[in-house]
Amino acid sequence: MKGGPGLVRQWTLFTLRHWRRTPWQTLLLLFILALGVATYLSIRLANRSAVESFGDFAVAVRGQVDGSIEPLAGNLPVQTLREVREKLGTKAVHVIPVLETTAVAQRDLEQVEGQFGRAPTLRLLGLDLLGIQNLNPRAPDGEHILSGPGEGEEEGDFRERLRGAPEVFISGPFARRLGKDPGDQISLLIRDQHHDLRIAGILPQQRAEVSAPENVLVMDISGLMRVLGQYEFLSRIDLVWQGAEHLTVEGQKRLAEVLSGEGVGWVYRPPEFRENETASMTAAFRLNLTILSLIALLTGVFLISQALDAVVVRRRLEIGILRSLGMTDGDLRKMWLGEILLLGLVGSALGVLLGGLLAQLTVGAVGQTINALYQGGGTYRVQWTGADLLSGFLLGVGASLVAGLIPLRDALRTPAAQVLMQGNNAPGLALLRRPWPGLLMVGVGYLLTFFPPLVLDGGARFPAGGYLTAFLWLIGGTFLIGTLFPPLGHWGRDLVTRWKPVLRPGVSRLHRATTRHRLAAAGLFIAVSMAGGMTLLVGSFEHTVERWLEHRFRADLYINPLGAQGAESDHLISSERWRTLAEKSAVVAADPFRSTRIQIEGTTTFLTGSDLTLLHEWQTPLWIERPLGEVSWLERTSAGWVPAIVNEAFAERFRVGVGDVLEFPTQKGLQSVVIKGVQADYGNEQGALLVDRTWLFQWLGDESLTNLTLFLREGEDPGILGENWAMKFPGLAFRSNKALRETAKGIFRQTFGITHALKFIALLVALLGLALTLVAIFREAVQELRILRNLGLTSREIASNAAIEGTGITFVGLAGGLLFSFGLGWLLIEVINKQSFGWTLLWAVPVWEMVMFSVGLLLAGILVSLGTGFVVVRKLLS
Amino acid sequence: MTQQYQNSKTLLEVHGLRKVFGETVVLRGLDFTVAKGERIALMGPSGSGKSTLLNCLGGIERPDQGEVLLSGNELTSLSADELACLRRCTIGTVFQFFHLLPTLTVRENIAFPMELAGWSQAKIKKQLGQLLEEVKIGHRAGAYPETLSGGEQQRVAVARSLAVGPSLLLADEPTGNLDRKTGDTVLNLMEQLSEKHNVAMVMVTHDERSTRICHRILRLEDGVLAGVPEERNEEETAG
Ligand SMILES: Nc1ncnc2c1ncn2[C@@H]1O[C@H](COP(=O)(O)OP(=O)(O)O)[C@@H](O)[C@H]1O
Ligand SMILES: [Mg+2]
Repeated sequence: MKGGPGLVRQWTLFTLRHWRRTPWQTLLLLFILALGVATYLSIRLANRSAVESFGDFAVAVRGQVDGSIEPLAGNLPVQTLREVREKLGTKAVHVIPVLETTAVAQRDLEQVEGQFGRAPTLRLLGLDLLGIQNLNPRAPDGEHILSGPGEGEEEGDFRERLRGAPEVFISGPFARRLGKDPGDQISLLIRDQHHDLRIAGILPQQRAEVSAPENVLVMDISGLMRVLGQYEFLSRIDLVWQGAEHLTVEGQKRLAEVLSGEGVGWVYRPPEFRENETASMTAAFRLNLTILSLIALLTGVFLISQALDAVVVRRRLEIGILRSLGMTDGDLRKMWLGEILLLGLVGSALGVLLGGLLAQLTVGAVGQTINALYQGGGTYRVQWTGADLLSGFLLGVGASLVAGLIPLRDALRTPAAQVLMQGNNAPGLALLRRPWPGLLMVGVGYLLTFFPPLVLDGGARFPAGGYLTAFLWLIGGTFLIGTLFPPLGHWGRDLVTRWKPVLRPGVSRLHRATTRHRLAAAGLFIAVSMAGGMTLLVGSFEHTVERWLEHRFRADLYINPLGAQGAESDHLISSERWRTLAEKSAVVAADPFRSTRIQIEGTTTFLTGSDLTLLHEWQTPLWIERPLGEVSWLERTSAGWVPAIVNEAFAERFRVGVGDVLEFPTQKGLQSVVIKGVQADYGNEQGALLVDRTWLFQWLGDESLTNLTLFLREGEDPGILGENWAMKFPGLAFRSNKALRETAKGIFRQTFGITHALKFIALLVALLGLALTLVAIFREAVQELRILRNLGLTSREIASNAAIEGTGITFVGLAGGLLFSFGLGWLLIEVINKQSFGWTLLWAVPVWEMVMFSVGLLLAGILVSLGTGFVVVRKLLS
Repeated sequence: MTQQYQNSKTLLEVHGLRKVFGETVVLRGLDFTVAKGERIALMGPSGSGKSTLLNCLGGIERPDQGEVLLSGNELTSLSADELACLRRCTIGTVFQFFHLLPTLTVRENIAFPMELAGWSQAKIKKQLGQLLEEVKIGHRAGAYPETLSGGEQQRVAVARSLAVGPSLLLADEPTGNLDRKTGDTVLNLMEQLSEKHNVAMVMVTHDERSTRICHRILRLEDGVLAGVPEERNEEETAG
């Protein structure tokens, strides 16, 4: 039979017939495979969707630019426009001023009943609409981006219109959501004030490759300036080359040379800079998700391996006969791979379908998380590409092939039928019986934790060593946990002798556990360690954040512009407004806080200002490194440096500590600060440099605030006071200490929602895998089950023997998994989290959660084993 | 070795036993009795239903018609659990392929039925010692079955089948997988023990020579017993 039958013939002759004979087992196997592919795909899609909606909205609206002029900190003074023009000289470059801020729709605010951070944030873009009309942008489809002069409208009329009452262009989806048409009024909260604006038109959604920016609003820049009541600042200036083509990299370099110079508060950025920056912002987060999905897939590979192993057991006689008929190892291998190929193809196809469904859910969850973490405001939608489909298929088929290796080995060891008939059991994989490869992997994994993180483009750090450790530990653990079987069997043996002799055969089989038992335990082990490690991480995180909230938020009343979500928000409280509040008689002390983005060493981070004297008088920072002695925050040191505090993420990111000096440019020239202390801060992973607010106001030339914190006189009720003031200042949100903590916890829970979901998927799949393996184990042991029947055991007793094996496997997987989950928890908290976010977390073991989880899993394992036992006994012994 | 069995006390009675698998009628109405302590050889071509008959006697298969009375108990009227209990205490089995539990040692394999029967440890120990002695396997008591030779394994199986003192031993080609010399040892052992403990035996065999330990031969052909009853001593031709 050299060569064996062809692939298709083999499928129709063997594979499909087997599938038809055991439809449920086949479906289960396909489902496990599909679930693995689906998890991976949905996370991949969700990731991309999130990144796309993070992309530069302005690019989506007015097309590609050839670079921008950006402020080194805060905003650009309007006169920069002239400076840039002068520097450019006669160069054929359009200079387009851009003012960007955030807004919230009144309707959305009402719907969430004013709850902080719940209403979708809109990006309000002020552009020189007239200028854009004239520069004839290179829109790929030739269509003009903004409708500009309407039909029959002369350009002069359009100019007139722009001078009139400010108008806004909104996106189609947004218009539909609000039920608005052009010409209607829309009520917006911009910075800290309400405005009713006329809708001038709908933004065309013409670019497929950029996720449609539903949350972008466009105004003429002069209109937006009038709305904001500020005419001095721009957000940035976009540059568009006048030639037919975009600038080459060479051209960009020349432009950069022309625009560079001493003493300017701005810098030229090539076009990809913003893209890199936004991408790197979420990189760490996305990487974590990807790794999670890959670890989930690892569990999947184990389960598929178990399931395929079950297939081998089922086919053992067939394989034996084929061998008797003269099939060689090569023929058998080919046949097995052919079978797996079909399985991989069908399973992946199902996985792609399932992934589409899951992605819809995941995208929502990831979107919320990103919105909460990074103050995005995007809507997220799933878009498929050919690459997604292909990678899903490759992954599914690849995972099946890898998973098929152990069973293949087993299949190839199947003797010819004559020998097989004498009740020969498969020898199984000897490797899984030895502890030393496991010990080696655990050891090497530990050494890898000392590897420093890789630094990605844009400053995000990737703890490659830590992830590799996790991988090695999980694999190593699967070798090690097998050693738990003999003692378990031994201990159980004494127990049954005294208590329930009927269970002796089951217990003795545990004592002499086969590869198959070990594989089943390994699947559970991986799922439990992952879930346990995650639980420890989230538990510690929650505990730490709670403690931090207690320290950090000691004031009575917190005031933000409504709709603002984080430090990055462009919503600001104007100078007059916050001073009015701070001077109220009920207020004993006020802490004004301002945050703005800056670039240090080419990496985006935050420059923040607060009342540092007050900070130390009224609340205690959680110091990681304390200042040495008293510091007067309002005075430069003798060396002329401004005293500053950095948060832990900053210290990790820029590798600095107390005593280090930093230099960075602002509009008011180069500034030098000296780090006096490092404090914990779990609200920010990009790093923040804190100086007294007087310095920041000076450097920015602007006294607007990101938020204001008030300490009230004894006896004042922050709730009542807040409500009263909210009436007088409709653009501001007033929240009491308690409300703020609740909000923070809400965001926190949202962030980890997806982690919990993944945890449960992993456990569900592991339990399914247990059922599959048990079927294989019992099928292989059918002879023994028959002996038991002959010896006079009832069906129930035989099933209990089967159940005791399943329970033992669950126990080993659970015990090993719990043990390793502490290792993984340590790894996640001390290495991976530390390297990627730079946060010190306090250990907290959520004992109750872990106990419930263990008991629940053990019960589920017992139920699954009993159920499988009964089904198998009924099917095999009838 | 002529054997004539005279024991009027009936252990097993089979009346009109009929067994059908789907379309094929395997047993078409069998009648015979087995006396206490009587040893019967069951012969017939392959596929004639010998194993099926044994399974019916052991309560593993249920007959479609007819009755099987074991010590006056009508097997067909018993529940699955009652049948299991019967197998546990009054029926022993030995098979061609030994059928020992691979994860139990020799000692544990033999002791298991006694544990099931709820015997005290002391009693188990005593009986175990005796059985190990009787089947001459005491020196391998701690070994696992896979390390034993075929003859040794079958001796353990015989010991196990007799552990709790059953009244009926069902054996399906017990020497089918052994060489002649080893087979003889096992057969002798079975005869000896059956004699000593007064255990009746129904043994399926293809080998005329094995029938020497039996009192009677039943021949199964086309689902019926041919020329019943056939006394072993009338049949005998060669030593
Ligand atoms: N579970 C079963 N289902 C269907 N047919 C069976 C089953 N068991 C035995 N048979 C059929 O009954 C007949 C007798 O089988 P068996 O008792 O094993 O014969 P033997 O005399 O060789 O032991 C055979 O034709 C076999 O095909
Ligand atoms: Mg037979």
